[in-house]
Amino acid sequence: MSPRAIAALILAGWRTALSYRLRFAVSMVALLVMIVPLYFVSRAIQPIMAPAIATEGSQYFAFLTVGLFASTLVASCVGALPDAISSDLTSGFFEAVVSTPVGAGSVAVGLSAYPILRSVLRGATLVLAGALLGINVVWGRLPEAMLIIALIAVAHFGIGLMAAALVVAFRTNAAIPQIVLLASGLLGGVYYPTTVIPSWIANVSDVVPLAYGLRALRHTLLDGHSIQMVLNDLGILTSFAVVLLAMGAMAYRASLHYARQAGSLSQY
Amino acid sequence: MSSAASEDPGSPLVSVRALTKRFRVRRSLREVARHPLTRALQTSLDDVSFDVQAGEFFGLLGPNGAGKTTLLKILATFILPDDGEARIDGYDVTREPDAVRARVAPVIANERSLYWRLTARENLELFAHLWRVPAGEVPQRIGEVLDVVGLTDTGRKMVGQFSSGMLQRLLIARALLPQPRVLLLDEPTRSLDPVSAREFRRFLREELTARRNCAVIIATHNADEALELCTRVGVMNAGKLLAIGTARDLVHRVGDDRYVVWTQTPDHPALRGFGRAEVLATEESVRSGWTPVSVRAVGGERASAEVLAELVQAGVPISRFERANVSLAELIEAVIRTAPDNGDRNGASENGHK
Repeated sequence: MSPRAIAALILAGWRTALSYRLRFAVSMVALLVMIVPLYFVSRAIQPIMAPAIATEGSQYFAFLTVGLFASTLVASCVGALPDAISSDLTSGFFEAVVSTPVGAGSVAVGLSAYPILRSVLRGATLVLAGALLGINVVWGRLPEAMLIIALIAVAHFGIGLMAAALVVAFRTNAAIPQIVLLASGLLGGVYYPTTVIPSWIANVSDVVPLAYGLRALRHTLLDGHSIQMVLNDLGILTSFAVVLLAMGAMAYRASLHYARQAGSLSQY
Repeated sequence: MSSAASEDPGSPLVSVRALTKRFRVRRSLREVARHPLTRALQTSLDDVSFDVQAGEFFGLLGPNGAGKTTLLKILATFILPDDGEARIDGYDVTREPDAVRARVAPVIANERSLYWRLTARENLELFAHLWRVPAGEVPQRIGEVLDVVGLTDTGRKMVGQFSSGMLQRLLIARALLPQPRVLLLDEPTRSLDPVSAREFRRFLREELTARRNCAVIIATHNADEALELCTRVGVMNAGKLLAIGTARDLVHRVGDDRYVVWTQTPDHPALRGFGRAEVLATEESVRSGWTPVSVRAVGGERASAEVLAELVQAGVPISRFERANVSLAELIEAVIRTAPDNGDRNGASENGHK
């Protein structure tokens, strides 16, 4: 890994975003505006949701805000790299980057780091705005929460690497980001706890990494649980992160080899 | 920069041996259904061998699809060869790609491969870090390459506001950032106006090959680049390297038996005795009344002197007798036409056909 190369690519992404000043400002304002209807809708359905989320913060507005934060993070971790490679293959930028001595891993992290960091920043802004509207965040558990957020990011970045590998080799992501987002939204506990999912589909929920990450995140950030208290979910999330990252890295390297063999690495 | 080849001054900076690359051909569903186990392959490079020394300018000529770009992409580590070997500064492009990438800079000709919302300096800064230019040297190196391509004054301008010529120069500046040992160029002046193209060629010759002792490999369809710039050229067709030599040698060889006679009697029967006398009317000939006619004199200088003597003896009025100019297209065509059996796999010989 080359931290210098990754930092340079992040800086380039940041400078590009800043060059669209109006768009940048509008997106931040829109984010803050979005939280207001979220607040009122959450309050309206609080009595219905309260029993189901009693062990995950008990406050539906907080539950939903944390869920949306994680969902945004998952979307960028899964989609940022395949999207970046897809457009950079077309423009020739990917060819220019891989012609440098920077390793494949640094290129992958560098191309996706800015969108992922931006989604973390947007998610943090959302949580902060929620705190101003009354979410009871246990700030003392922030280090634990950050560890869980990092593991969620790593696990889904592994899936992003697999989707990126398909883009490099076959110019398609096979709808992997969309499938993961759908599964995470419906079965990962973004809008409702996984305990209310019907038993016939609950087994599928067991293989959704976000389900474990979100449960652990809410327990620490909203209920003030320690790492020891969420060790079970954390262990499964860590296993997902290790396995998915290893699989993603292997698929990504294999795809680069395949593209070099097929001569398609610099076809645009 | 430490290098394997530079330790041995005799060894070439670029060494290509029996390089072969075949690409799978996409087949229709019907064909796949009929023959599911067979694979259709198209040979893009066929047993190509050559060397390029430090400070040398090597041109790759040939029609579209000849294999020039595939060869450049293999040297840039974008494509893996099937057979054979290519070494840059002693490092194998297949087994040591990282070491090769640290020494080779391909000029990626796509203008969109730059960040258009960033300035030229910001783009170069990004690539300076990717190329591992020492952090303390980055501003100075950027200043140098911008100066070299004549973009110093526009370094703070957003790249999206650049003209095509400026973008081309910026792409070249980007390739120069790592101070490469080998520069790979694929039709580099196609977007430049004639004056900028000439200036760019001067820069390549004086700065890169003469001063920095780089090896430059250039694929081109441009006669000025091939004939004036290149120390040697290689003519390719259908993946084979058919001939290597200095451009002048190849032109001389191909055009050796063609001469132009300027006469007032282009239909004189004596002219028909020397091949297919071809009338080459020009504006000048129409104005002056002297018409250029192409004739053949096989056998070098002595033969041409004999042809001239015979024509004079036959009473053909002649104002000029000169060797015919050979265009790049004619040169390529002639090399392809006169190349012996394309199935021969011995590789191109220096100054000779296969």
